[in-house]
Amino acid sequence: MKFIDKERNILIKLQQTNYEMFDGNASDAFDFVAAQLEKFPAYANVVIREQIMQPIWYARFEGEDLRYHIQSMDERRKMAHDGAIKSIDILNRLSKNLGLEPFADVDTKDRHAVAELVGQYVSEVYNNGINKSFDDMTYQKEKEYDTKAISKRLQKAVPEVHFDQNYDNTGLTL
Amino acid sequence: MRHIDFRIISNNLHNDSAIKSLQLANAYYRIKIFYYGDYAADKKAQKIDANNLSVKCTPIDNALDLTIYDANLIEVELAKMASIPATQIDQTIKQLQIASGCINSLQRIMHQYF
Repeated sequence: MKFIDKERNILIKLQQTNYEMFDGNASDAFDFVAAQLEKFPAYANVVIREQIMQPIWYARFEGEDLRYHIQSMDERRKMAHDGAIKSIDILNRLSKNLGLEPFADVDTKDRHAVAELVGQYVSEVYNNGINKSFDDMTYQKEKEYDTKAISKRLQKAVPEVHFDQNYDNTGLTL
Repeated sequence: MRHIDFRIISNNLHNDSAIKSLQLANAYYRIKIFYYGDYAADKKAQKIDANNLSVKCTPIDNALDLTIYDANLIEVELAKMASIPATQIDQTIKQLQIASGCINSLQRIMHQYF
C-alpha cells in the first residue's frame, strides 16, 4: 500500500472514531499527523542539501572553516534523522491504536533502513505530485461541495462582494 | 536574553485522551505540543519520554519557520534564504530576533511542562 493511502486511512479512521484519541478535537488530530509527516521531507532536505553543498565546501574552505561546515551539517542531519525515526514510531503506534497496518514496516533501530524508507516516502510523494495524479479523496471532496455552501462561505468572508440571491454556478455576480 | 511570551491557549495534558496537547500562541507563532502517552503519570514520575513528544509550529505572517524536535533541539528554517537581497537584511535580522525571543520563551515552557 502506498504511503499516501496509509495517510488517508489514518485520517479516515480518526474521523470515524470522532477524533476520540484527541478528545474530539479534529484540528489537533490533523496537526498531529502533519507534524509527523513533515519530518520526512525535513530529513530528506538536509540530506540533499548536504550532497549539494559538500563538494562546494571542500572546494571553498579548508581547515577550521571546513570542519565547521561539515560538523554543522552532520549535527543537523542527525537531528533530522532522529526526528524522522521518532515520527515513524509515533505513526506506527497511531496506526496500531486505530486498528490499521503499520505506517512503515521498518526496524527503527536500523538508521540506514529508516533513511531508505524516508527516501521512498519522499520519492513517492514527489512523483505523485509531478504526475498530477488526481487524488481520489480530493476529487470526492470537491464533488461533495455544493455551490450554495461555497457562496455562503464567500459571502461571510468577503461581505463587500455582491451576491446574487439566485445563485448561479459560482454564487458570485461580478 | 530576550523573551517574547506565549499565551497558553489550551491545556489538555490532563484529559483522558490518548494524545494530549498543549497549545501556545503569540503574535508570531501558533504552537501545539503533543504528548502521546500518560502525561500525568510520566510527569509525576519525572519520566517524560521525549519519544512521545511532537510539536507542530505554524508561523504567522512573516515569522521564520521553526523545526522543533524537542526543547533543546530547535532549528530556525533558513533554507530559502541561503542568499538574500541586501534590501532584506534588516527584515531578516528582525525575523531572527523575533524567532530567538519566541524560542527562549518556548524552551522555558517546554522545560516547565515536559
